[in-house]
Amino acid sequence: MNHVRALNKKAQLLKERAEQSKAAQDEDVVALQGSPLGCSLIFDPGWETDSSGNVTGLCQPVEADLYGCYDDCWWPAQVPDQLTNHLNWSDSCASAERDWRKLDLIYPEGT
Amino acid sequence: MAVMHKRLFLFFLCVLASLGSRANRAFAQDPELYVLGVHPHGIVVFDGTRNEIVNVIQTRGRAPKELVPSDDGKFLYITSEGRADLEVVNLQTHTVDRVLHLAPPGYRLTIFGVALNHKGDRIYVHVKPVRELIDRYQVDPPQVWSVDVATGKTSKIAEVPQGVVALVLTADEHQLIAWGRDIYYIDISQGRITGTFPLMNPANPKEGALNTLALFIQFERSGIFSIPYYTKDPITNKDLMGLVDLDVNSGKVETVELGDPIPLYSAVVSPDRKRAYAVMNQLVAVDLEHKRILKTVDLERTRYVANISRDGKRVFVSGAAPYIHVYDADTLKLIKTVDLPGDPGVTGFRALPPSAAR
Repeated sequence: MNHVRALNKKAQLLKERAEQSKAAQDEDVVALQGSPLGCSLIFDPGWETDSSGNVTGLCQPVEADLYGCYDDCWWPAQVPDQLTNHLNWSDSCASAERDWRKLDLIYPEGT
Repeated sequence: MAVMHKRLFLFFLCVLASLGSRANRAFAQDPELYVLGVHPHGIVVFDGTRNEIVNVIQTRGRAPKELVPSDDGKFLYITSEGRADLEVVNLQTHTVDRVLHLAPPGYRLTIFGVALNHKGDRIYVHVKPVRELIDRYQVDPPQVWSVDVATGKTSKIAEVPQGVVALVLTADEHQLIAWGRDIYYIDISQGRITGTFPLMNPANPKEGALNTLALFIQFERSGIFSIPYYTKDPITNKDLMGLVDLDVNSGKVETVELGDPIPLYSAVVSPDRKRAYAVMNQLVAVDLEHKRILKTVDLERTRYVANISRDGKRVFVSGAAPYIHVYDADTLKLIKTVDLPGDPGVTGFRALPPSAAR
């Protein structure tokens, strides 16, 4: 593709965008290399990136952050919410980091 | 001479024993206590002079969140049971005296923000009321209430915008300060918002919105309620971070820009107001006088909240995982790890007044 040149403004814009996108991807790789493996990589679809699109802002390990997300409905699609529906979810497990296997799955009512 | 020496030796022994005894009494009378909530039903009382847990108080509701001690150190007011209840914890008997159910019939409440007056007879709460009708839920506007501690009777002071998570009372007790998307000043006698410090809604288009999360409230040592902010400079398009520092006595707000973002949940300001310590995946020491980061160390796991010793020499880090880590405030070296009986999750980590019983 190196022999293709942008001839008009729109093509030039597309070229710039592609270069910006490549630069952003390179930054992502750098960020990943220097980051701990956070909550995005363990059994929780939906926790892929932090607010800036990277992973450095994610909590780690996921068990340490589990009750933080549960307490105030931080990720209501991925973690049971304490405020409204699943007040007793942590009753049998004082520490998610030590005993997360004691935590039960949550099923919709009637199933 | 031998007898004289023996008498002198015994005399010095007595003096030393007396001094030791006095020191021990002073130590016992002047502990440095902290409280934080743990899952599923606990308040941990932590002695910061010995770096050890001295009590675990059983709460009636689950997972305590906000913790507000009375000025005399005799009581602790906590939110529990999914932020629905307000419990009155007796710090002398280490039991829960009462539970205040604030929700009127047919309503469900979540409490985000608790403040107590100096006399200890009036609590202010920020509540998010939801009316549970037969066929639907009806969300009422968030509002600030006054609660009579003796009777539990509530009265509405003012409605506030969505997003408030913290409430503090100024020293003159005329104003409540509600921290949400912006900082709102509520005149209690007028029952309305009389001023706003803009955070997410800057008046000047050349200033970026300051994104804050004021869930972790600890200002006992300095009188400064400090929270990290994140913004994008609209002119340079550069991401920046800093601290929003609220003087809880005067209500004055100051922002401290610190440069490139480091993800941080909360901060605590040292007693001399010269340093701040912020935490998440790192522990970050900030020079507030020169507005720069002094030192950063990686933590072994994510932490939500920190507090600082009375002499400013040790930083206590907790929240999330079931530990309190004690760090040297100068070197940021780990001094001790204390195991907790449960995960603190999103809890307050408050210093008790010196008069609080051990």
